[in-house]
Amino acid sequence: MAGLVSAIIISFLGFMIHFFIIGSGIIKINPEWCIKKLKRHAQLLMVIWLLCLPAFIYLFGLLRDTDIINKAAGDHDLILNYLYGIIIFACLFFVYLTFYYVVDRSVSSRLMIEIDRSRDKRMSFEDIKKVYDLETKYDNELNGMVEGGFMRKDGDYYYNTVKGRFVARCTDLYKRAFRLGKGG
Amino acid sequence: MLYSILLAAFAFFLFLLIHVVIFHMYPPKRRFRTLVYLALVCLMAYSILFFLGYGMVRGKILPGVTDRMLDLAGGLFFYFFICFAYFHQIIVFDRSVTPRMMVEVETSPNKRLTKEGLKSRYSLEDKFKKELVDMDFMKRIELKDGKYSNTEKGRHHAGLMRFLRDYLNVGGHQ
Repeated sequence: MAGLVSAIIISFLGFMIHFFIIGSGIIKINPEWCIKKLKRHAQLLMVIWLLCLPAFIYLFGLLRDTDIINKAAGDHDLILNYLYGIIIFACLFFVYLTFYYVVDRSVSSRLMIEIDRSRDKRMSFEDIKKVYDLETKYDNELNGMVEGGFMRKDGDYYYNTVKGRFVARCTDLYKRAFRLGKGG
Repeated sequence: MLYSILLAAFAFFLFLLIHVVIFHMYPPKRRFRTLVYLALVCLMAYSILFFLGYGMVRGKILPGVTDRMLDLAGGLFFYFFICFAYFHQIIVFDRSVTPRMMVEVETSPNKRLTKEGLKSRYSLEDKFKKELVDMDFMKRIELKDGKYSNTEKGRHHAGLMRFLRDYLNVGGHQ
């Protein structure tokens, strides 16, 4: 359990460093960039996490040597081991969902597939719009949000539900805090 | 600890198996919700197996593998997993279409938008253009004489995605 506890504590430190660096503007990442912006964030996170790795190893050693977690857990090793497995499953499930999300929903993958399917494997932007219809995309996204309970439709108007409003506010706050721009 | 890890891995592979079978034989309408339900079912299987077998394996460990090594390996897995999950969260907040649409509705003057109103605030045509620029940056496609074509990397990517979409029986509707 020392490994898990160390990972959580040092990762929290990593979040704080990332938030401070971006929030204070020490490193500026242009919000207008698209994939380049995400690449910069990935690089920054990797640097932070690798620099914090010695702290993780130190904390791990400290927790193991003092046996503080086992002492605190007492005779609850059954529950701790049970929860450990559930956390592992949850991590694997999360990784799979990210993969599933890319396969199912990625716009860029769909664009490449459409180009690959075209007769001479070349398409202008107008050709792309014919096979990947923007109106259908708007309809699918809006209907999906209505079905998922994030929006409701009244006449021609779409309104956020309580759930949708919560997601919208969190998204807006997050984008502002991390200077991500409008995105989407 | 090793027992928990192995059982969790088993439950996850069980989830993958059932997921592929169900998505092929009975494609669900609410796919994400189905995945969550399946995960919960597999967690129940994990729980039953865990409590049935725990007494038999308690304290046992593989030869040559110390508890400290296992703990450190698990810790490193979690440490980098959290980094990955955190980065993925940035991607989702930044790139997803649906949260952006919800933000546009929320920040509109009357907190309501028609489809046409939404289109004027958030253009999917611009999004597609940005995606094409991104793919060009990543060397997945190239633009020649006003037409886009896949590079070799892009062809492999498209082929893999087509295979996975057929294999999982998903995609295409978006």
